Amino acid sequence: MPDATDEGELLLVDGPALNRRIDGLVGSPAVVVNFWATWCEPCLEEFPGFVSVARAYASKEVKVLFVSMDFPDEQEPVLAFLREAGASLPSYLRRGKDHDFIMTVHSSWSGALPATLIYGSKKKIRYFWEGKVDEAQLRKALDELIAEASADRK
Amino acid sequence: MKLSMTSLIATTGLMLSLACQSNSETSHEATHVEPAAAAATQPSRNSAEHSKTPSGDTHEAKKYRATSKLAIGDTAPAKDVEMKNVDGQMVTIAKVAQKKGTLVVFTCNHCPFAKAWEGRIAALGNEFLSQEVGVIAINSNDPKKAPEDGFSAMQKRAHELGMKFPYVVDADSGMARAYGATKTPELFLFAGDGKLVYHGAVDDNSREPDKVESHYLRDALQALVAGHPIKQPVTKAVGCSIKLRAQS
Repeated sequence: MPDATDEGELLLVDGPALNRRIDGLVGSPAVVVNFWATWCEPCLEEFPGFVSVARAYASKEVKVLFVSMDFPDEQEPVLAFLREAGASLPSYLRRGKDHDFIMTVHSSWSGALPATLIYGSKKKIRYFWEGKVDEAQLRKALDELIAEASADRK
Repeated sequence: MKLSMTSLIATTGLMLSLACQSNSETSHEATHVEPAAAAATQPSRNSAEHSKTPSGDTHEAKKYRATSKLAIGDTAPAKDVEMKNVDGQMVTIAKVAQKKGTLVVFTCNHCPFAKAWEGRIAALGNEFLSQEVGVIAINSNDPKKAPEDGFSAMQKRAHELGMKFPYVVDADSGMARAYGATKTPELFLFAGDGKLVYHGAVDDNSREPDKVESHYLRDALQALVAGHPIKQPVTKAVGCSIKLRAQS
């Protein structure tokens, strides 16, 4: 069985498949990965900030990935929310056991939602949050990573 | 956003009608992973052992020992902090501790995952109470952020579930901070000597109890009572972030 569906608007990913997707985003100064779910109110509250950041930083090659932690048979409401929120598609829906997925993504993550990771240009995790993140925090972290990547190139 | 949630709730199954309450507080755990340390010693991106919490984010209420996450082998903190049980009595972890060990459960009323597992938590807790394991369930959520987590709702839930162990209010969320608990449900099992032997989830399937493959908590409790080592001492599962009360 493939570890990710390659077609459609919602790609099912297990932990290794998600990591490979992130590794494939070559040339980005920062990759933001936000884990959310339709039942998680704080996730939905912070979501517009992430969409706004994705748009504002697209020209700087920053990538923002949303990974829904809803169950695989809940694709319809997940897609409905993503469309209404203006998130770019395709997006991601996790699959597989919680424990394996969480440990593969980040061993320090308890599994609390929302959770957000930011990878730097060398694909190391540079920021990790459990709980809500506001847009200003995101922008500050991204500005720092962009400046760092720019300095590295000089 | 609210409208979209309503439509989501209407169109989806089992647990969406139990949606989490809003959390007006921003993240209570922000970790800035130091690039040099992480790069030098952690070739895998999946470890944050060399991470740090930004300064200014670590002040703790005085009666609690400042901790981050508890590690296996650590001693139960804040054992003498009094908390109000649903029966109105004040209890402490030290008072509920028994000879074979103590199970400390961070849970709540409102979270869909806490609700999915609460029946199993109550059943296991009741079962192992009779095997000399003390059990306590703690609600650390701020009812201002999660109205379903108020005291009267907790009383009702404990009664409905037939819990034979305390379900207490963590009145300033200090217990969650002391244990480093970040989500509900989150379990800490201590041995008779007070050392942490298991930390994590109930089992590997919140939604379908009859399809559970790994009974993490039951296995840990059985091993503890039998005096055997616990095969999987740390497990992970998705849950709701704890809605901490603001620190004074």
